[in-house]
Amino acid sequence: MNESPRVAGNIIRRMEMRFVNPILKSPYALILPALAICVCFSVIPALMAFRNSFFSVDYVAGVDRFAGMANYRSIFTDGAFIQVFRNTVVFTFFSAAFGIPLAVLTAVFLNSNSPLCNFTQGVVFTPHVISFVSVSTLWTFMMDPQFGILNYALGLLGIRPLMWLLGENTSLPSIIIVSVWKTLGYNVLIVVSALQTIPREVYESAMLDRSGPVRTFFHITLPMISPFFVFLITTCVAQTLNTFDLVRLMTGGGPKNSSNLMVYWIYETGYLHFQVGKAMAGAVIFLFFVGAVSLLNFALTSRRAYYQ
Amino acid sequence: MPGPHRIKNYGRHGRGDYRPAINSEKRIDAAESMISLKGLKKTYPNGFTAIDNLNLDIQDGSFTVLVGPSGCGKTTFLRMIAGCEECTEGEIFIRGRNITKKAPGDRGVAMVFQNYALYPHMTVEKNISFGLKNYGYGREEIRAILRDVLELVGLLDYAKSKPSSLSGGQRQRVALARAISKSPEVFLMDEPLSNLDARLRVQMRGELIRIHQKIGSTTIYITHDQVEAMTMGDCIAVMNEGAIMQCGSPDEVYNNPANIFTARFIGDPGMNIVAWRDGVSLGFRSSKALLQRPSQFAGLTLNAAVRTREHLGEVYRYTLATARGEEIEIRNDYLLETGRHLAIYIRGENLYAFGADSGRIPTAGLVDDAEI
Repeated sequence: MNESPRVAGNIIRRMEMRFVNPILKSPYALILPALAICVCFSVIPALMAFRNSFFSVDYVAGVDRFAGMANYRSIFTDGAFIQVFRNTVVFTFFSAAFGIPLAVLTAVFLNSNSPLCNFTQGVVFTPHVISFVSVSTLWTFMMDPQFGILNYALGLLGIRPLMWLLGENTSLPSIIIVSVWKTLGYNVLIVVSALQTIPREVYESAMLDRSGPVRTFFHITLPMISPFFVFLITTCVAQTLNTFDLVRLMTGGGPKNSSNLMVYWIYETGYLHFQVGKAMAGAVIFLFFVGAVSLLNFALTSRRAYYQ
Repeated sequence: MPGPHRIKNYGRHGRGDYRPAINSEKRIDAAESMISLKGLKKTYPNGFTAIDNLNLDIQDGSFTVLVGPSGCGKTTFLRMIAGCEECTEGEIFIRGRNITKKAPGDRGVAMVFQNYALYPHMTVEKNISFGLKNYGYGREEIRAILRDVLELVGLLDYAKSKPSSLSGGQRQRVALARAISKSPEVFLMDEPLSNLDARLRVQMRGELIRIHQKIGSTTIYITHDQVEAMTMGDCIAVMNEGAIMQCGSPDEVYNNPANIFTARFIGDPGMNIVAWRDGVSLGFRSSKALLQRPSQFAGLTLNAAVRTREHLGEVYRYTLATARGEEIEIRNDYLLETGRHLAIYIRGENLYAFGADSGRIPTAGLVDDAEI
């Protein structure tokens, strides 16, 4: 009675063995779906960007002709590109240089299980789940030179008010502060989980070895969480190099490009000023820069990290 | 400042055949004992009392094994001596010195952990020298100590290896070397062999004893394995629910258990206990149960039914149920069918009696002809 489903099942199984299995034996067949998406949305656009960086492109006027190195020449003679590039390096460096040590300190505190932990955990992690739009709006209010709470606080300390996002010297540090604040929760999460991989007994051994808290931190804790730093620094640098939202929402790159970052500059040049070729030349240079930084980052950190 | 006891002092107690005379009847004076614990109590913030009013004296140079079931508070006890856990109440003395409030590093103790607790990012050498540096030893001294202790545990060739490249037994030997290097007055060992496989465990057992005999420091060794306790300790403290049930030589706790818990816990298998009358229970070792009534028998006759049989090779292991449903275990080379009813006989001199409070009471004249 129940023969027919079983027969059907057998046929499907035989077909599978005959036709599907040989295909699945090839590793390339297995990565094909992911590869297709990657080719469509990363490789082809990158190649197009590379091609366009040597062309003079104007979608409105319908111009698309070979321009040689003209785009590259123009961005290097244009002071803005150099400044934006420098801003990006400064922004990334300080975001990581403040963000990661701050995350480590916070995580060490959270790991100590003091009564304030739950509260701190909430405070630190909330920004990570808030959207960039809300974060930007909030900080724009707080950083308002006239009515913002930050200048009010400075006033209480007897410090002269700052221009924050509106000052040429303060706009970049301002978005660094917001970036550090926004990413702190995620970084802390990574470091806390790293700290929890250290067995309690190792700390007790250190106590029995007469190692004080500072020596224990530098000789036991830091080396033991070092593998996580590779990951943390790589993601942090990749993330901050690609920052777009903060600039778009808080400063628009201004004043006078003082807070403009690479990704926003590419967007601005390509889509607002319609200089597609120039934007793509910038993008290509940026691509090589990011690649070089990643390689360097990996080479430096993996050499020093201990893996169990 | 170098520590008070240099590594050169190895021979201080190095009497190879040293076995302290343990007599639980005699009250050991705190002044002559190495470690003295008075009224120790540990209550965790959640209200759980792990240890309650624990008093124990441990003699200089002894190898004391603290044995008890999981969760009986033995690890807490050891961590309190090490200073990793605060005492809620009570005091700890080492050589008459009150160390209750001292930092772990200033107590003159070293600890070997179950999971080795090595510093995984440091080489074997650095694992050992890290503490020595903190203790203030000079470079030359550290080099000499390193050579000494690595030779002692047989790991001279592995000085530059990372723990991850060593086997479990080797890692535990590194941990041991690290503990020895600081020439502590007291060694604390928290189930150091339980992460090793059976064969290695037996081998390390012997090695630990050899090292103990060589350096002679007082050792407190924790285990839940009563075989380990019996074979290694020259003094066994049986612990249950945060209290010491009995403390004495292996012979003493096996042949002269002070209460039902010790009787059941020590020995493989533990002692059989059956309820008798007026709250009194009778106990006997499996090996003392006879299947045939001897002539001139005075003792306990026990009627029971065979419930299960296991073949252990040399003998069979039987579980029997008495009429009241109490389970007892006997070992015998007779083949008995399961379900069979039979009587077993235990001579009076092989019987132990326990009172209603589960403490030991004399058997003399009590059980000349008892039957259950």
